[in-house]
This record gives sequence, C-alpha cells and structure tokens, in this order.
Amino acid sequence: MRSANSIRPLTVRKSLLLGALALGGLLPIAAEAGDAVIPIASNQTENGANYLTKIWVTNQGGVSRGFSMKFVAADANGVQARPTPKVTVRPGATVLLNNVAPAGRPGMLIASGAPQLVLSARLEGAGPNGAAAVANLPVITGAQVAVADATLLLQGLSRRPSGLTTSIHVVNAARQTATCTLKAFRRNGQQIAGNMTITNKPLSLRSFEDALGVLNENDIVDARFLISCNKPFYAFARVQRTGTTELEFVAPSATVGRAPSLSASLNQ
Amino acid sequence: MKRPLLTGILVLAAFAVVAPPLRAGESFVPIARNQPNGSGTSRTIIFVTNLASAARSYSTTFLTAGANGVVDPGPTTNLSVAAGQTIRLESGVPPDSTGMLRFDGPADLQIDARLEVSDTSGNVLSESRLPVLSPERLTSAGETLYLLGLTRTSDGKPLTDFGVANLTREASSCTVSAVRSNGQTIGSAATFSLQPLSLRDFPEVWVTLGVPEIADARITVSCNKQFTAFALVYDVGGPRTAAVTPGGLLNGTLEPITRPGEVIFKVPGDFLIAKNSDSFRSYRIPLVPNLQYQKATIDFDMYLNKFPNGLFTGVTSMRRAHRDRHQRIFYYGIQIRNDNKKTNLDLGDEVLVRSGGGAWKARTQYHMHFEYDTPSRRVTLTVTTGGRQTLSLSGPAQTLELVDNGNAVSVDFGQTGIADGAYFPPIGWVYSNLEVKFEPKEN
Repeated sequence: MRSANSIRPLTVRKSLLLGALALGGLLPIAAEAGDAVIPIASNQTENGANYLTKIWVTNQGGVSRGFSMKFVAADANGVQARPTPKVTVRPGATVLLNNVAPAGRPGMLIASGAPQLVLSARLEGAGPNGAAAVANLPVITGAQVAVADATLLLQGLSRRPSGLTTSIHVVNAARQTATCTLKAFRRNGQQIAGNMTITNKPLSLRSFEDALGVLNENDIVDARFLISCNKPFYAFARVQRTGTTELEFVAPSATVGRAPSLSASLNQ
Repeated sequence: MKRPLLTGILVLAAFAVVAPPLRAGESFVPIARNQPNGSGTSRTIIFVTNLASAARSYSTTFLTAGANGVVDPGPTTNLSVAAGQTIRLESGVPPDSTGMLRFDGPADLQIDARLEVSDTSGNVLSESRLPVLSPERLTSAGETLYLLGLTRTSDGKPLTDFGVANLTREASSCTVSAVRSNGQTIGSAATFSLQPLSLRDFPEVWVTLGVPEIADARITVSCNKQFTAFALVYDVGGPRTAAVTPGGLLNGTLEPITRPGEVIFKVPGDFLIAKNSDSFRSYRIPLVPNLQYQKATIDFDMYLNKFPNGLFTGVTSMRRAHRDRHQRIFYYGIQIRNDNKKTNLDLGDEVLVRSGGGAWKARTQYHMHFEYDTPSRRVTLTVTTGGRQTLSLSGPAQTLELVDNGNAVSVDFGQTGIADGAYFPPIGWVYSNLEVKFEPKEN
C-alpha cells in the first residue's frame, strides 16, 4: 500500500488552478473614521414621549482628560460635521451628557478623545403617563464595525398594527461613499420584496423608519434584514411602540463562535 | 451578593495563567432568566436563523448561576433549524432559574437574544436585547470592564442586578469595585472566585452595598481569566429593562479590528457536494505575502453520506504550492479508512497519527476543527457531532513555515479522482460553512 502522501500531486495541481477563483477582497482593509460612534443621538418627541440619548464618560486615568462630540444628522456627510467644544473629565470621575442632539433631529454621534476615557450610552424615553422606556446603546469602535463586503443580520424584528414598528439604520464607517444592499425576509426564509441598494455618504447614518410597514408587511414577527456594504459599516434596528415602555435596540446577530463584525463572506 | 465579599481585601490576581479559550463553534448568552418579575415574568428568548441551504442542528445548554458549567451543566436542548428559517426558542431556561446559555453549533447559525418581561396575559411590558458572546470578543484576563451610568433613586428604582461570567474551563478570580461619579470608591474592592464556565449573579447590588440612593455610579470588574460582566437594570413588574454592557474605551478608531495581517476567509453554505464529475474544491487563502503566521484555524461542516468503496477517502488537506514538487509543503491531510477501522492525520514527511476504529458513521453531520499551531508545534483535529466530541487527533507540525512566500497556501477538500487505486473521493459527501483564520506571528 502506498503512503497516503502519494495523493498529494493530484490535489496540489488542481489547487493551483482553482486557487485564483477563491480570492475575494479579503486582505486587511484600511477604513478610517473617528474614535467611536454612538449610533442614536436623540432628543425627539414621538407620540407624546421624549426620547433622549444619555452618555456617561468615565476617566480611568490619573489626570484630567478631554473629549469632543460631533453630531451627524441622518443622511448627512459626517466628514463635514463640526465637533462640540471639548469636555474635560477629572481623574476617576464620571460625567453625564444628556444634551447631545438638537431637538427633533435624528442622527448619530462621533466621539473623539483621550484613550483613558470610557463611554457608555442609553436611549431613554419618557412617556406621557410617566411610562419609561430604556435601551442600552453600544459604543461602536473597530470591534463592532464589520469589514467591507461582510453581511450583518438583524433578526427578531416585528411590525404590529398596535403600533410596534421597526426602523433599520446603516452606518457607513468609512470616509468614502459606500453602497449597501438590504434584504428583508420572513421567518420562513421567504424574501420580502427585492434587494434594496442604497448609497451612503461618508461617515453617515441612513435610516429607514417603519421599514417593514414600508414593505407592506403590517403584521409580522420574527422578520430579519441582511445588510451588506462595500465599505466598513455597522447596522442596527430600533423596535418600539412609541409612547410606551416597548423599546429595543437590535444589534447585529452573532454567528455561533464568531463575532458578527469579523467575517468577510465570498458568496453572500 | 453577600456584603463581606464587597468589603473584602483586594487581592492581586495572578494574570500570567493563560486559560483555554472558548471552543470554536461556541457562543454564550450570559443573561438567561425565567423568573417571576412582579406580577409578570422575565424570560430569555433566543432567535436562531439558519443561513445555510440545508437544515442545521445546534444545542443549547443552560448553566445555572453559581454552578460549575463543566462538571454540572444544566439541561441541554437539541434543535434543528430548516434552511433559511428563523426559530424562536422560548424554553431554553428552566422555570425559576437564572444563569447563562451556551450554544454549540455550526457557523452559519446566527443568534440573538432578548430578555422579555410579560404579564400573565402574555402582553410585553418591556424588553432588552442581550449580548451574545463569541471567542473574539471576550475580555482578556487582566483587563478591566466598566459598567457605567448606574443609578438608584430614593424610591428604590431601578433595581440593578450585577453579574460576572467566567467563560473559560478553569476556575477564575475576579475583583470588583463600585465607584461614585466623583471617583470615590464605595467600600473596599471585593475579590471572589468563579467556577469554570459559570456565572456569579449579585441581585440588587446597591441594596447589598447599603447605598439607598446613587446616580451615575459605575462598577469595575477584572478577572484573571477571560470573562464578561453586565448589569441588568429594571423595574419590578416590567416597565423598564436594560442590559447594561461594558463601556467602550476611546482607544481606537472605526477601522474594523482584525489584527494587522490577520486573515479570515469564509465560504458560507454548501461549497462541495461531491459527485463523480465534481469532487474537489481548493481555496487559496489570501494571506499577506511574506508575513509569517503563527496559527491557522480551519472549521467546516461535513456530511458523511456513505463510505466509498476504496480503502481510504481523501477528506481534506492544507498545503503550500510550488512548481517543484519537492518544495511543496503538506501541512496536514485527513484520510478515513472506509471500513471505519482508522483515521489518519497525515502530517507530511511520512508522519502519520492514527485513530482507532469506529469514529465515523454514515449519514451523519460532523463539524471539523483543525488547528495548526506553530508556537506549540502541534496540529490538532477535533471532530464533533451534535455538540459531542467524537474524535481528536494531534501530532507534531512538521514545518513552522506558515507563510505565503509567493507560493499559495490552500485548503483542499476531496480529490479529483481515485489515486493509486486506494484513495477515493468523498462522493456524496457535503462540505459546508468553511471558516479559515490565520493569525500573524507576534513580534
């Protein structure tokens, strides 16, 4: 019997032929941007409830440190956004910012500052009857941003006649214009409508309010969106019944055993 | 949380010990509850979507808070998700329980989790998405996590439950401090131990600390093994629920974090359904030219339909090409003997590691996990089915030259035809969900 090694030449020869076909744009990608993104900057009243973004900043260092914020309105070019005056945090202290967005204008925030600063954010809603809704918001850095051509999944999304809606948001984390594709699916895997292709300005937020309703899905649960962009990006959903305690921030799903931002796929 | 824990003496942990990382194909939801909450119920709900073109199976194991998740795991649920479908798992956590959930499954299953508070009629009162943790995003031993913006008003609202999870298979030690917004520490730092794969849950942490009212406080956590921490902030009866995850440091950019030179190569779905006319796939890994890599991890799923007629089946290999066959590198290969009496882990240079018999079954789905690790000079194959390990083979790496020097490194599956009358292609077998990761050598 021959050694099993003897089969090598067969496969090696074939591998050289097919190898070139397998190359995707998967080499490390040079994306650019600020230091961190808070994906929802809100000071908006909807259905009688005021939704406010709160940001806590802690200085874990031994000397005072500063940071600034840029508010990027939805659909605006974030490269052109202007920073706020610098805020200083004393060593060991925490400051709370709750006036980070202009009234009535949805958008996102780009935070820049010293590496000793830690940020955390929440979206809080105060309803007309005192009802309070709250959702933790991620602080998006390179650990959450997906590489170009990856696909992110947002799942467990709903639209009910009772007023529960889902909005879909795509953050372009690059300083170049991006093209993104959105696909919606029912829980049985059936695609809702066709693929939607959008263009995102540099460092921008594109938002699609009541995305399932717009697609004529007025009573649906456990739907999902698949989102892919040709530049580094992030996507999220906001599921809520405005004016009530129902409010959810939906981040991209995790692949079993792997963070959602890390993988680039060949054949999505 | 018992008060003495938080008033204990700060103990410096020995951070030098390196814990085994999470296994590939493994993820955790660290907040798993099914408990009364006022007149309603707080319940963790899991969403699983299968992006593959065939059904996929996975298992969910509930790890009770405080228990050793390695020696005393809770109930396991095995489920299958049809191709393209999303399922909602509402029964993964036993009644009146709190803990965390461990997932084991193929890489084309996508998971999300929600904590939902509902009343007795099933009406949703509030909800919060929950973190799902994978190996890359765990906090390393010795790092510090910060849970910010924690508050308790004079009316006792909201409640804050604090949790720390040890996500390694060794015991760990963690140190926790609570700090006011002005930087003043509340009491002394506390150090406590965690069992392997376990969650320590500290309900109503401000009550435990004797703090009736506080605003914008934080909890800092550090452990000597990979870990995570969270605060669950909520009102009794459900009108407000938020899973507060660790704050983010302003120490980077928005550039996606893959370590410089790190390459992740993925082919989701079925990539080879071997038949007589088409029984081979080869993927060149797009490594950074001339960059030395220290570790390669290769994961894929494999459906073994039936054993071919020949003596062996050529299953998979990793190689580096060269025009001169004597300059080619054969990193590893797997051949299964078709009478199921042994499996060869072929390491090149006539080095074979052989298993015993009976490792495989026809018409069975397997997950294959290879590690080519140059620091330890080991090549390891781990095979699992249904979340259970069925085979492990390991042997010495014959070369440390894990580099694309202009000659392509490829991973190959099956073979084009019958070689030497003995080595047969895996006709009828299905290969899917390839994920290859190359980690560059650290300087």
